Amino acid sequence: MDSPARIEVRGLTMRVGGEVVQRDLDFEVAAGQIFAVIGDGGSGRSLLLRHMAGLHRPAAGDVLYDGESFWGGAEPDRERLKHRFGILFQGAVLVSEMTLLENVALKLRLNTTLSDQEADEVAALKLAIMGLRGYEQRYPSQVSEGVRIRAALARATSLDPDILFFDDPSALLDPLNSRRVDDIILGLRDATGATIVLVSHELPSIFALADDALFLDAEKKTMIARGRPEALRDHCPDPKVRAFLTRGRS
Amino acid sequence: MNAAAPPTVSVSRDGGAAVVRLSGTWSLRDGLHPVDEVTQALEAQPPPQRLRLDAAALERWDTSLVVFLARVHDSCSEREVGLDTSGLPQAARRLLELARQGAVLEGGSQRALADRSRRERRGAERGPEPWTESIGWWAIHSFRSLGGKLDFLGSTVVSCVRMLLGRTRRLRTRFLHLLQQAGVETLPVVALMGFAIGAVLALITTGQLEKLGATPLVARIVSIAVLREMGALMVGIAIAGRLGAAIAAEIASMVAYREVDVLRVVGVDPFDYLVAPRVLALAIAGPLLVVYANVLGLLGGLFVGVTAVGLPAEEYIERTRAVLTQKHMLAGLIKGLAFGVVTGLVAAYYGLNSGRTAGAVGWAVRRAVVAAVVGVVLSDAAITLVFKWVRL
Repeated sequence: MDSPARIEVRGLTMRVGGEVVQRDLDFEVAAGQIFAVIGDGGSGRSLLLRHMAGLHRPAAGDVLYDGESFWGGAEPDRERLKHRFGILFQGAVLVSEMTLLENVALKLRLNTTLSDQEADEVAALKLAIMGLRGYEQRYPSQVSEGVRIRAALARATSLDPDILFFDDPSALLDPLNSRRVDDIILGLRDATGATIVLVSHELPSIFALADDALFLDAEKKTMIARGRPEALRDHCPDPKVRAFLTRGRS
Repeated sequence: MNAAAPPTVSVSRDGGAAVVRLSGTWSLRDGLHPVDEVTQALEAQPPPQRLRLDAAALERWDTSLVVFLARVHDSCSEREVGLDTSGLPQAARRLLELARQGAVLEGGSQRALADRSRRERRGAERGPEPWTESIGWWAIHSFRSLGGKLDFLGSTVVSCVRMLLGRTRRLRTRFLHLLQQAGVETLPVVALMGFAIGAVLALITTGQLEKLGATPLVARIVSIAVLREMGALMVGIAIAGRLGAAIAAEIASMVAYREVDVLRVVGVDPFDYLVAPRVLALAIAGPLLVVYANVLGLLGGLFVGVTAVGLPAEEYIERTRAVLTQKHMLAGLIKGLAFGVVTGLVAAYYGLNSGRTAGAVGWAVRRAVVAAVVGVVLSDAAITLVFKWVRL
């Protein structure tokens, strides 16, 4: 696979409707890491993901991929970088009028020279890797939330991106399906070496997956902690972070 | 910068084993690599006992390599030739294992998949399904569908009765809002259509009556046509198009966003909250809109009669009043009531029975509008026949 990417966020300030959501965010994501963005409600976790994935322009600051500026670059350069990204949106949004196979194959048909038949073959393989063989001709409305999320993961990885952004993939899932999605994410990272940025508030997933984590504070409007989730839980000087990671039991 | 080496496959023989050497850069953007060389090696005589994959010279790779490996895996399985993947990168081996492992299906899906496989096998053995079986399935499906519709109708009637008896008092404000939406907000469309229909009818009939020298009859013909048929039918079409679409979209969106589930959970019957108020609002608004449309239709006829035909206004009004009988007006009002009820029922039915996806809202609106328009036209024909029979 391509060598895994390294992400640098430098002096990032995010605004929505003139109001600052987070300011002065500075952190790096090492190559091949699973990096969790955590924080209390309204702290802008999903918004940070959108800024990093190039879906939202920052009020200030930049995001660098392998040292290459994303927001400082020209539009064609940004488009080229975006081809390295795979995104799983919150709620695993799939196009309801397409089968799962068509949902996964769409990106392949639009971005490669594969014939329709070849794109379908690759899409079927991606679904099989997610444990969804036999679901190819189902529509999103005919399958459970867990299956939809795995199909959305298959779509996000259809072009073999080396940077993956996952927005709350385990939300609304039962513990078993949540665990299965965690296993798939770990398997993806191990098999492909992709760098994964994960927004989640599911503590079991955070502890099972994340090599590194960042805590965003909604009141202070900036990051207040950074480190391995276990280290933050046990040793973070900020009680809010410890409380978050222990469900208020610290 | 050196260009990436293209993906290459070379096959050789090492005793009883076929050795497939993979090299170069494998990328989806360059397309998929065929497995012809591997298939030929598997079909060589004597056939190999196993196939060994060697990726020592492999540079970069992505899913295109995994697709190739999956094809090789399937070819070996078909011919019962062992596959040695130890020479592959660990990540590629793991992806191949994941792709070729059994499907992780949920309980119901496992059964559905097994049923489908059984059906396909049976179909392959027995040939196409006999036409008698197709008719049987159609009849069963239609019967089930009819059952669902009757159930919906029954629940709506019960909710309407509860509402009329005042047992859903807390929903009164909502009902008044719906009545306003169905009635007052539809007035401009109905006014425009009513006036235009009256005027067009007057113009068309005048052209024909002039040939017979009976131009003054235009007032009589326009009045009867508007009162008995055109006013009500036009209101029916306006209700079906405007309100049918709005009701179906509103309820289908609530289904899609699970608001209907929330209503059930908090103890509100969706028929009481969503269906009955809308059906009753349309049942009341329908006849009132017909009266309004009739007035505008008659005014449209009067306008053309006076300005284009040259009839004195007093004479036109006098001839119109002569046909303004109770039975003509009653016929229009009954039709307005029927069209309102039909549209309300059809739109609410398709809204409530839509799916939980974004596309489901469009589906519900499309089905509701088509069914409501067809329902309006068919009920118009049926009511006209009944009126003829009872001499109304």
